[in-house]
Amino acid sequence: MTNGKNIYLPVNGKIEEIIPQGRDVSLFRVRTQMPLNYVPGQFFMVSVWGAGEVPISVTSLFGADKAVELCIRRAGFVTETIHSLKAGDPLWLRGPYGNGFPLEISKNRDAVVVAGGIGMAPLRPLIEWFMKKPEDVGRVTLLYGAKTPEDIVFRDEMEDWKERGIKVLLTVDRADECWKGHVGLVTGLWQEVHSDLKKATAYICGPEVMIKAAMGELFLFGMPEERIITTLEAHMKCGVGKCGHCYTGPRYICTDGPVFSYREIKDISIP
Amino acid sequence: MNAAAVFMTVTDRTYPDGIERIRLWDTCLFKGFTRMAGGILPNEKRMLRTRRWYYHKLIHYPEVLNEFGCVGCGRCAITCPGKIDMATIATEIKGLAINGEEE
Repeated sequence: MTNGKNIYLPVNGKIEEIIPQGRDVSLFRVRTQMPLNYVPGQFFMVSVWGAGEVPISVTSLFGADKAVELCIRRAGFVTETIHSLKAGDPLWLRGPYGNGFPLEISKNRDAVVVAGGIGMAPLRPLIEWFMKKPEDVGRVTLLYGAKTPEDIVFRDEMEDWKERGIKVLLTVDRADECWKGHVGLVTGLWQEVHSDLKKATAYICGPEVMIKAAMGELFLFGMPEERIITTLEAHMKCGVGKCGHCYTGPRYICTDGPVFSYREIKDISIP
Repeated sequence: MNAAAVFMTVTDRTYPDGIERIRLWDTCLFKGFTRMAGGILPNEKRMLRTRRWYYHKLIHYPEVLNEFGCVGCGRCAITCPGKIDMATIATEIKGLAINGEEE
């Protein structure tokens, strides 16, 4: 990957399209000269000159002539700057880094995908993968929780996923007048999942409290530790295991993760 | 740029004639070391930062790499007003006290 070049050197990309997704969230379609090969669960160090770098997980499945899709929420200084860009502006990418989701463990098993808020972003390529290879996976259930109905990302695509056989369960923390679905936490929807949780696999991403609660509850339901998969995040600077910013327990999230199983992280308490 | 940028290891500096991306010294004992987007500080308390530093250097480095993260330069022992020598204490905690090895 490095070929003796500076590992911090990003490649030039161009924003092709910006698709707004709910409040404060946009999907950026970035085209690079050379296609970057990535798998679900990996991330890119995305940078804007003069603002800085941020780790952003890939939101699309790799395709030879497909642009990289990055779902970015307006949260801090750099993401604020990214949101001020327009189609045609340059965006610099470095990566992909990280290990990616273990796709083989869900072979011939039901999959439960649990997402909260912007946590849908790293799980979207996973769902696209399940739709591409439906013979490899059993029944797929998506549990998605957002703060308000406005905050639900990929709403149009979820309709498409429903048509293609994925059970989509949505819930919000605060409902508005026209919301008819569930209200409450995603962890309140387990009884709606018509899969045997003891034999299924789970992929979880969302806020830290949600990950903790969902992992613990699935473990209590009898799901084996190594089949409860999550993807973590941390403040990162290098992405290649040198700077130590993302140190969590005995691991670096950038090189050993960001995808971990419950077995690997259940004892970790170092923030 | 915001003043917080001095804590970051990779940062961009804007000059009238261009932009420079540079690496800066950083330490995990700074509050801003783990600052996340939106100003969230996971290690705001000094106790948590010290714990992170201690675990990283003396617990998890030996677990993963079979070596202490402390290189034993001795600067902490020279500076310490309480005469606490970290390198010695680390080896003592591990049950490998230097005196013990000599006997």
